[in-house]
Amino acid sequence: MEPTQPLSIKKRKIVFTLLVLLFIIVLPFLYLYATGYKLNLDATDTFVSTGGIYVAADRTGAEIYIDDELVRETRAFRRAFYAQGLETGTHKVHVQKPESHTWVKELPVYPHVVTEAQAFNMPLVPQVRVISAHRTAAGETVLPEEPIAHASTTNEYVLEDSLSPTVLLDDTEHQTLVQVFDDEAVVSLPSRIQEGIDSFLSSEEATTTATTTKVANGVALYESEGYVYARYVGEEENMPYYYCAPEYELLSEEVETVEGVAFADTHDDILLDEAPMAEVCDPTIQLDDKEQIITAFDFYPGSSDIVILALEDGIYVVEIDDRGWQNMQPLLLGDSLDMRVYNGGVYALDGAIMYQILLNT
Amino acid sequence: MNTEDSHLLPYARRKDFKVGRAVELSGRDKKIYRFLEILPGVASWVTLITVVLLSVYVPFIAAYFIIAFAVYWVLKTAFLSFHLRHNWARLRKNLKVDWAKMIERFEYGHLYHVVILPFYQEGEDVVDATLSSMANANYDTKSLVIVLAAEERAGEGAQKVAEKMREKWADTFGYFLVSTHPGDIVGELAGKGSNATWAAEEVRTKVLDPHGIRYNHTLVSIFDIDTVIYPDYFNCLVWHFMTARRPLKSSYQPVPVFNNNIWDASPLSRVVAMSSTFWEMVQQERPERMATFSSHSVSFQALYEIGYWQTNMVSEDSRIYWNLLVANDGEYDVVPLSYPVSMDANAAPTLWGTIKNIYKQHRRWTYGVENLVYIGYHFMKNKNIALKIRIKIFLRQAEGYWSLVTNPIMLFILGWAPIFLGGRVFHETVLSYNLPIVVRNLLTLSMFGLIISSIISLTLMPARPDGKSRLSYIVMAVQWFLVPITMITFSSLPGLDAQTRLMLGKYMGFWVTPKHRKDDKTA
Repeated sequence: MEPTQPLSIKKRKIVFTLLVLLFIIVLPFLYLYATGYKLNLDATDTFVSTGGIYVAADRTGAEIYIDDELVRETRAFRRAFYAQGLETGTHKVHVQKPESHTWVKELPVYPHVVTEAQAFNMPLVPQVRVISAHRTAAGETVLPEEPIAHASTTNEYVLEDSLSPTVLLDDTEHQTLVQVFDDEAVVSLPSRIQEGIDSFLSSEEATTTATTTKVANGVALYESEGYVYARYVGEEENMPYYYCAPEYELLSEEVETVEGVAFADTHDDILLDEAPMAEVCDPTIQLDDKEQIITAFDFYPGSSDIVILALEDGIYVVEIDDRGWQNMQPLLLGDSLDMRVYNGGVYALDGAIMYQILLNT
Repeated sequence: MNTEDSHLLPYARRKDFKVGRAVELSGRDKKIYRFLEILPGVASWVTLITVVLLSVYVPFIAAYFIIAFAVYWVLKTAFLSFHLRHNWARLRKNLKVDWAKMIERFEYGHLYHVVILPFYQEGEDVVDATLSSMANANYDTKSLVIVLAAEERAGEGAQKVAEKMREKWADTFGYFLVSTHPGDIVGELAGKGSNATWAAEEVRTKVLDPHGIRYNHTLVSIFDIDTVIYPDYFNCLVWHFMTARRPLKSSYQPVPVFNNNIWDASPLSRVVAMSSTFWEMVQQERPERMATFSSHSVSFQALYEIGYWQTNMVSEDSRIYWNLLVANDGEYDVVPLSYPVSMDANAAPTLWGTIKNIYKQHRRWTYGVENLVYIGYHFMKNKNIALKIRIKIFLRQAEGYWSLVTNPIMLFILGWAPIFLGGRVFHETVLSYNLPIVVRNLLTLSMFGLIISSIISLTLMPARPDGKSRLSYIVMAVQWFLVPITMITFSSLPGLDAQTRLMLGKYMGFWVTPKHRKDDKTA
């Protein structure tokens, strides 16, 4: 058996040349694909510009739909979905989860641009933990009356009336939270942020005060003439996508309830031109209040995209993102509930009974 | 002309022929050499920083570049894999060839093989295993001249090992010489090169000349002390020597496989060691690009004509080839043997120790970039080598050292830079979202090559020893997923470290790789 020689230079050159040709041929197609062009042999234009949608859900077990087609069931490490190759125009996105409210949005897709959105699904029946001034020696919370009916309590409680005379212990947590509800912390804002707010408000004869202003991640929430506004006051580079978003035509008729929109008939898709640039950007968005009086407001814990509003008929979670409309879902229904966000928790006060509304259930 | 230098080739008589560092030169030559020392590090750092800056200021261009680079990487992997598979087939075939029969057609009885084994403080078992493999070679051992090259500064222990080996093996071989390299020679860098040069001169004056053994009838095999040869090494070497285009102007390069302790080494060690083997196998299919590496063979005459190895630098195993190429005006070859020699994979008692040792070893290997400086300098001086060849060789070597450092970092780390640094406008684009997907998919494609690597590595391994479970094969196969980590940690980073040291003038010394085997009896 004779030993074989190394690869001939000729053979190596042939393989090398083939690979170079492959590189030259493949690369332009890869660029086109990566930037959002789609090959469409049916159309007059061979390459069609497309865009994308990125939807993130806040919970696992949710289903993400784009144009009524299920695209993702969220899991622990897969809570978002990126859809590419979408035709430019308006697309319907909804995120639903069993026993939770549905989040719906109609979003514009522009050529070579990804439209982002953050969904949320509050439970249909909220879970609450009742807190009162007293508890029994066994640790049961003592309540003066039955708690709110359309909520599910997670801790043991007894009604005051049903107790035989016994020693009641003070609940220190309740004492702390009473203080929270009584005091509205005075927030001293950095001058840059205060100036940003004042410069906008000065032309509106505003009556806001610093005490009702909340700031998180460059977003300032404040009240003016009974309305609550979200204003982005951070670095422009980091401004969320929905501030200064251009107008676009919706697919569906305007309906009253969010659930109704999810199943409304759609119009023909309306093609959009390239993403229009906002001429003058005023990063201020008014929050939907259902034409009710807002008694309290704050950021949803851990988020600067979602706000909690205490309205006359309940506590609601509403998104700042007003593209199309603002999704609003009830957190806890009840008349004249007061609300505070404290140490990452959401607390509601209904007269004598205090509730911690449990999130991430 | 100094009579001491009369045996040297004309170019090898130059004072700067064996330059090791810029500080050894003066005037304009020093500036040129220093500039060349700075060049590789600057090129690597500028590349990496440029990718970061592109990501910040022109993220679209950075993204397009990264995609193009990922495609290039996939195709390059395929190209190298093509070479690897061909050499794998050749290697397996060469292991089955009856080399003894192959060389019967030649007159080779006059040939002698000097085997120089520089060692420091390696254990007796390591040295013994090497000598045992020589003794069991399928070749007339009386034609072998063994030189156990000890270091004076290694102390009494090394001397004892050497003497013990002489007592045990001297009668087996034609000649058995123990040389002791003095530790106080001015101008020398302590290391394998200076030891080997001392040993070569010792064997010339004490064995070759007194016994009338001609230099052009003598082949020198310079082996690391842990090198265990396969039985037909010398037969294979003789065949290639006899059939080479210019046998006295050629070096003969086997394929280093790190099998001595492969079953005891950690997966990290194994992947790194096997990657080195694969690289050498690829190079064996491109002989015009080869330089010598680690254990190899060369004619004594060629060595004598250039005054043996350099004693003032680190990577003497590759430098000797460049010395020979330059001194012979470009008329010098490396002949790939496509036949293995077995060596030790880097292993230490602890995992952290192993990691440190591998890093240091690879930093020493990648300090071979000092050869690029040497090449660049002497290619400017030696106009007898055709300009086209000088340019081609220099650029090829430069690309090799640059890509070794930058490519893995660009691919596995900086590929995501535009996404994090590109700013809001870029972040909202489809390109920004698709960039990690495209790069990930391309890298996954290139990882298919790992499956081939895994298969090849299993076929090159020695038989599973008793005491090792069959599950070890699964580990051996799956360990290749460590490649992205090893490429950066043990290739890019030590390479960048070495180039930066050279750039800053913080010259490295020689670092002896500790040899550790499970049943080690240290000297």
